[in-house]
Amino acid sequence: MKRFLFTALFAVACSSSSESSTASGDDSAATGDTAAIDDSSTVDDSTTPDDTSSPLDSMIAEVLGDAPMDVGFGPYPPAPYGNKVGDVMANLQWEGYVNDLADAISNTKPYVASTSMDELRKKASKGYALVHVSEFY
Amino acid sequence: MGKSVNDAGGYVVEVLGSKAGGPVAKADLDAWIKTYKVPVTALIDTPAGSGTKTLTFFGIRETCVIVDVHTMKIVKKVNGSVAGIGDSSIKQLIPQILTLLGK
Repeated sequence: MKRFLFTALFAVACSSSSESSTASGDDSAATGDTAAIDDSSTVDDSTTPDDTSSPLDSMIAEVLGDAPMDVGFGPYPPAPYGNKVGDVMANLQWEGYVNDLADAISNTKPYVASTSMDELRKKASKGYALVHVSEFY
Repeated sequence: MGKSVNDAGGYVVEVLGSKAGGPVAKADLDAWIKTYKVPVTALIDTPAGSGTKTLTFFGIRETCVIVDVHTMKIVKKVNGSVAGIGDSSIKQLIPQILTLLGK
């Protein structure tokens, strides 16, 4: 869903950018929104918003909020796998209670029939996860 | 303890790898969570009751690792006491992952 929204917003951005480029290349089209980029116009740079405060950025920030994105996560590393320091951990498959916020006893959360190390690693926004293997009698 | 890691931008995965050395059913996971009031993501091998793949991968229970989630390389590993002596492996590694997370 996030990827779809991001793609849609990116498409809008590209579309806007394309229109601006066309307008700036046509000096006779100094009407409406294009007037501000007409070479003959006087533009006060001090009031021109920079790239970080564009309406598009505001839209993206509003839609995505602080939610982590999958940026930087490629495919799961291939085998060989191992369990020693320096080895790559296997993409183990699990089921159970996913408790991202760690804000309650976990069996109060919905039971997930399928998850994996690959899915869960993407929730570690600062790059490290801890995996603990226990036993019960 | 685990909440501090998640709050710091890490992620804690608790896996109930076995029950008395054998496969784990959902009812075992429920009982374990209830007994120890597990407050983080708590999982079993899937399909439930079919095997002990996670335990087999790590070789022994009471194993805890810190992984770099981009490379999936194990950067720290502790095997705790299976006799319950001393701090658990997760308790030993939480300060270390918090350091890695900049806390």
